[in-house]
Amino acid sequence: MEKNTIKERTARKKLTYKRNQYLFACTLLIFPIVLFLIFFVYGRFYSIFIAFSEVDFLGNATFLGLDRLFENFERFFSQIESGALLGTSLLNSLKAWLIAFLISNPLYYIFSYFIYKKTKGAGFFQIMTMLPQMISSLIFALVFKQIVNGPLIEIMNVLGQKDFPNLLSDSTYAFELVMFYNIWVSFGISVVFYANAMTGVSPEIIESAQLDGVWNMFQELFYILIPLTFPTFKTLLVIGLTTIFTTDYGLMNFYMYGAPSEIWNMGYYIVVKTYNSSSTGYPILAVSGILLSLISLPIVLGIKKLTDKIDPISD
Amino acid sequence: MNKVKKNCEKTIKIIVKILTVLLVALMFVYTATLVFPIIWMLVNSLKDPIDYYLSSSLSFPTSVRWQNFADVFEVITYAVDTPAGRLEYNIFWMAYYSLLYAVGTGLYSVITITFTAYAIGRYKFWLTKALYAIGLAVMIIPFVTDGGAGLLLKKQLGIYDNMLLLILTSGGCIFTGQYFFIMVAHFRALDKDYADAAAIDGASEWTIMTRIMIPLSFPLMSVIFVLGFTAAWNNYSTFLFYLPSYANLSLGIYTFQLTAPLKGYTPPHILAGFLVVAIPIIVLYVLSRKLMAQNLTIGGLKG
Repeated sequence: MEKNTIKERTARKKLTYKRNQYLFACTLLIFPIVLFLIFFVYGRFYSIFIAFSEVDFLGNATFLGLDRLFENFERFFSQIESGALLGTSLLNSLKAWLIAFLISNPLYYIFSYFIYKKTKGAGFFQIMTMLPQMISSLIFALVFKQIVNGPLIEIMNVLGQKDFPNLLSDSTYAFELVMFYNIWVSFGISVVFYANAMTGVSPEIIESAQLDGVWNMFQELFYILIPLTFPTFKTLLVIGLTTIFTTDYGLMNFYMYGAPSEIWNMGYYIVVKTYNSSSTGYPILAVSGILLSLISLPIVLGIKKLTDKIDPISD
Repeated sequence: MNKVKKNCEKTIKIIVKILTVLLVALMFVYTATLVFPIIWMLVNSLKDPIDYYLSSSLSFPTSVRWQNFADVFEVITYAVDTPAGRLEYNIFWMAYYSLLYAVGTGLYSVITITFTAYAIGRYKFWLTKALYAIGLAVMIIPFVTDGGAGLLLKKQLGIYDNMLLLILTSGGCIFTGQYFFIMVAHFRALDKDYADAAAIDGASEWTIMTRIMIPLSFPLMSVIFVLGFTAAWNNYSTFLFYLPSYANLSLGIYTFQLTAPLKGYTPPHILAGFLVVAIPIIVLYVLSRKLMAQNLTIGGLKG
């Protein structure tokens, strides 16, 4: 009888302890949940509401129903078909992401390897790669702009290229230059992540691979380090994919609202149309947001599923 | 046959060695290209404006002109139109708002991320599991925001042009993002024995969190603060789009470099302005880089 009472008391104590823990956790989570419900959930619904509405110059939205939604869809697709700014922006976003991905990732792995192996100078390299992201992406972009407009032209003149243009102002070269800039400043955090992931690989694995004949950096990378750090690559890839249509690739830094139309991308398009245009254009922006989210979703999930399948160390 | 094989192996070894050397050289060249803009900015910020135009921009100054920095403190201004009238912010007011916004945002990020990650990482029940899954979904599902609806919503809720409310409501979803998941993984990895021992001694959950778990997390929290502070310090777009009655240093320098030629100011002044804005962050980076290099890891996405 006493044993049962002790058991009951212990069980009650455990329950009270757990209940207190859950109450405490809930208290900590009230604020994030409220914020999420207002700014994320309600914000998305409000965006959908705008897609069905007409917005006046003062920002007042009037719900007009399905007819207006279909009208906005039509305008969205006709702008893409006619090669207008929206279509150019969409295409440039896809091009930019693909170029950045294909060129940057091999270099991330290679430079991370040198940091991981503590190659001479790699420590200094690691400090310098973080600078563009730490000092100020704005300042770095503006200094780059000054260099393109100054020393670069001087160097090219000395090399015999008279009348060398300001590449940022010349729409023939601006896209490639902006891409070069984005890749040039992108190494920072990604290299740190990859290098730390490589450091997490057990030295015994490397040693046993060396005993099996692995003798150079390329074999070490392909057979050991890339497979074992695949989860990091997968995470960064998926996160990167979600930003295809939202990043402006630094156009705002270089041009404010005046970028040449040939190099606009969706991130820049959304910023300019939101903050430098009339609010009457918000419904079509809302439609763009919805459609691009729907287009991106299967792409992101598909690539996540594919990388999950080929992940050499997935459980 | 053996000889051919040996020769092939030798050739491959030489090629691999050459490629490795070339890649190391590429790393050095890349590093040099990152050093060059900083040195170029420093050197040319000290040039006399006439010297800058008459000589090569790649040359050293014939005479050092510290006055450029003094001029910058006078000429970088930003005018805003408020209901009360036109306000012109000087560099000191802009520095004040930069600091206020950056410290506020940094503190807000670290507190909200830490508390949320602690709740989700330490207590496993249906709510925390659901929020974790939602956070993952938000991170990998591409929500293309249209900006317009967001701006209208901020105006309706009174957040527009209100720095405090903007900071408190920044980041619609706290339980997502790579730093949040790093924090959750950190709390999950912390030894529960510390907390259990404290609980046995009668410590409340709040005491366990604030006296044991959070002190153990200070290095990672410092990293999140530094990253939040830096992003906020360098952020001009929030002031441009959402805080029209305020101005920070980044916005000031951004508009200064656009309008400087019209006002008769030269690249040395612009570059001096860049340095004035960048120096606090460079100092912060130098002080915190080891902390960041040791604490930033990212694993896989499960689910």
